[in-house]
Amino acid sequence: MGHTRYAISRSAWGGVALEEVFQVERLPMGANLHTMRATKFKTNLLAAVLQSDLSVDEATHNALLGQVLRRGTRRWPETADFMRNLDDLYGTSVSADVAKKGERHLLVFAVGVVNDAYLDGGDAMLRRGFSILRELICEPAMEGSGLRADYVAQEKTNLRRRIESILDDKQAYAFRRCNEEMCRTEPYAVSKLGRVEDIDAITPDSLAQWHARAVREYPMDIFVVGDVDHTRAAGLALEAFGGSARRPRPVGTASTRGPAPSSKPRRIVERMPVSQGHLVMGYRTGTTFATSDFPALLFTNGVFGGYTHSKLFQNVRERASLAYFASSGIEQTKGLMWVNAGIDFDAFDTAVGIIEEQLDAVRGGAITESEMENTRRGLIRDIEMMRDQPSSLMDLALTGIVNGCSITAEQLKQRVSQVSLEDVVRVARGIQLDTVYFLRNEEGARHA
Amino acid sequence: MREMELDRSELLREEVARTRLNCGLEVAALHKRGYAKKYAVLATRYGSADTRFRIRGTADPVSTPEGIAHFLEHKLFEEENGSIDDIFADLGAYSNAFTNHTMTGYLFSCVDNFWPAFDTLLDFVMRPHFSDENVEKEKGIIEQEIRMNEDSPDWQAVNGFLKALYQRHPVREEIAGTIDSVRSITKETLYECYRTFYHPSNMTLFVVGDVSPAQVGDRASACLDGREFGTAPNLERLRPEEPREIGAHRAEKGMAVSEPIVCFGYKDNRVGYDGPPLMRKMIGMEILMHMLAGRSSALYNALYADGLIDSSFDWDCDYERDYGFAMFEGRSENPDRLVERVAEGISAFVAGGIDPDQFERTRRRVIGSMLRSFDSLEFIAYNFLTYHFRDMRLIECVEVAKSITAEETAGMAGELFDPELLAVSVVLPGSGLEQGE
Repeated sequence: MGHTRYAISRSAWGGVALEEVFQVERLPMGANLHTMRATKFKTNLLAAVLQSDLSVDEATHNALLGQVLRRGTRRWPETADFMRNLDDLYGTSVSADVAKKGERHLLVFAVGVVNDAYLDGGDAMLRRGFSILRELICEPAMEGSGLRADYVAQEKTNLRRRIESILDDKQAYAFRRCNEEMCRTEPYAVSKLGRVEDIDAITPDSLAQWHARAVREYPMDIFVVGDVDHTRAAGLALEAFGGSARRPRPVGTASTRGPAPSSKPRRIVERMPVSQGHLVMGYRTGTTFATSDFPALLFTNGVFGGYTHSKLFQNVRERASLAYFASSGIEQTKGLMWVNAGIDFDAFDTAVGIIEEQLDAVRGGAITESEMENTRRGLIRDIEMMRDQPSSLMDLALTGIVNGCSITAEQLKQRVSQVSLEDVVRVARGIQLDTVYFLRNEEGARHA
Repeated sequence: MREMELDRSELLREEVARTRLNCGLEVAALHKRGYAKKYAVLATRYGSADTRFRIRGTADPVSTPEGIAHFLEHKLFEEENGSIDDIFADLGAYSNAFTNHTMTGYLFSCVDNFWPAFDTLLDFVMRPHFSDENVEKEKGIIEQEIRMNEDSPDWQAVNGFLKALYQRHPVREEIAGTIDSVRSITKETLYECYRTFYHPSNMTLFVVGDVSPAQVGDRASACLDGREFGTAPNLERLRPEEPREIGAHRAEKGMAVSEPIVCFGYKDNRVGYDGPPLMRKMIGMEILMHMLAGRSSALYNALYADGLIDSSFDWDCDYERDYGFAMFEGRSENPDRLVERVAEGISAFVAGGIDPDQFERTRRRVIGSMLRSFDSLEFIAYNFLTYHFRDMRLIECVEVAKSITAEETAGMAGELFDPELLAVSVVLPGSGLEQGE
């Protein structure tokens, strides 16, 4: 879309509310079905999410498994044939990828089909969508007792390249490095794609065994958002997955408590041939999705750095002209907060100083009426806009599942509307700077 | 209530209502029932490629610095007492803007307070306030934006490609300009560009969401029709004559990347028109490129199995009135072998002719993705304007896709892929060395 006037890379909201209209049902095969009827979309979203703990082993295997499974199925073992079949079905979209929420690893399978009402009526597309979802998850292309050996070999290489290519996106790289350093003694440091060193040992047979165990034992949630009523969705989900013998095992906590930051934050400076300095500051907030202060944490982040009216944008960019982007974002499950900004190499001390001053101002209650009210309006707007986005609705529900506590969008909106300045100050006082990471050029002063 | 002209698609089940105000502004709206979000964009036919122009009969040609359209976009938000973003934030609306090669757009989205935000949008875009101090202050911000792009290898690969493909056309220049060109921008030049390109007759307002289109027309008229905008400048955009040949076959740049990133493609010299013929070409090209290099194609799957591409590989086409190209991009450990194999694949594809089954299947795929896109208000708004400024109607996309024939796409394939017009841009792992041209 060319250049936008400003970019806030991680939104203040980031995905939070449980949409109140999700209807939930425990299905007999040990999976939960979540449906939301919405007739305004031209596509129906069908998805299944498998959850595990976050470890190097889980992350590496699950990431590779997702890549291998989307290559083909028992019915369509050749990738080209599988893709041609999807073209035939009006470009039905298929994805199999991994994500992490706190210290939980998620394998997310999604199928997007055109609403039959826009084609010939009936329910052919919807039925095909469900069977593709099942084939994708449960019926992979096999070779003997293993997954297709050529696919496993190719995807091992591609996974390694994908992990290494994070270097190419300097903001993402700086962000990941800050997390690795901040959480170096916690599972959260593990990348959602796992680790290069652990790829080699995986074989077609070992991955097939991993797959069988994942499908059998990982807790499973199925989501249907679109022009489908709950009873119909339950029938189709049972038809698709009812035959699988599942014995879900409970998973551990998604949010371990990290060590308290030392009074002097760690400083990590790395050098590379770059044009711009990439600054990421990592904080521990002490507040998570599962705590009662969560709406106040959203609010604090909004006042501090989530929006263009926030203190960071106003002071780092608009007043000091130091950056094109300067914003904060939160990880809701683990209760982490980050500030990131792209700055001149020489502006490091000035920028860190201004950023800390701004958080101090929040801690000290130096917040104007309009900063409070604009944040409130911004958060409420963001909650309401999720109703137009099936994927964010699903993401929000997942955050609730991972955190073991549900709150409806309406309840959250209510709670956000009641957050007071005192709440913001209390939450801000619990936020501690842990790690300052700076990616800079190879020349220049080395004391930073 | 204002009478609006209606364009309807039975296949999409959507309708666009259009009208033109007395001041010359075109207003259009698509009523999306049931959506919480409301989205409005006020756009002008002015982009980074419009650096040279002349007002017919009155003055000499004017040359302005690279990046000025984008700079103006940033500065229009400035008010005497701060930024217009503050007003949008007070209303709970999200505001932003964008600039590309041929268009600048100002937008907001909201759930509540739509009409006050709407009035604010129309008011601030039509009322510039530039000062020496504010112009200077913005330079530091834009310098960081330029540096951010310098660190993006994907951006650099595409930019190197455009610079190799075009010898003179300003599409080869950076949208944000260079650090030097931005430093030379003054308040006076901004006002001159504003007067030239921001007359309402050069602009279009588009609204999408659960809002009555007739009310959009009425309200826009109430906001603007009492104001004095003067007569529209008799504008002539000066574009240098672009030679048929490309500028360079290959460009390289070293950056801190994990493996080479390559962007390559073909210059299309059959340009100089817009409207329905351009729309047929764009949609025909979309079908053609899917057949040739999409995920279900023989070529894509062979390249993938041989390890020459990964899932980052993709293609794109861009067609404007006076330029057009088709390109491929992705990561590859062996970019030269990849380019060779794609060129061979294209020859084989052209020689083999279009398979009617593949054509029908691909057409279905393209229609499905069009339907899917209409679930996104941002997609609708951005593409409505892009199409509209090329005298095309987005709402007719499915109908056009249904009417395109295999022969038409075969014709496009036969004309486009001239090895003489192939440019390759590679970002290689290494440190900042620049070659080529």
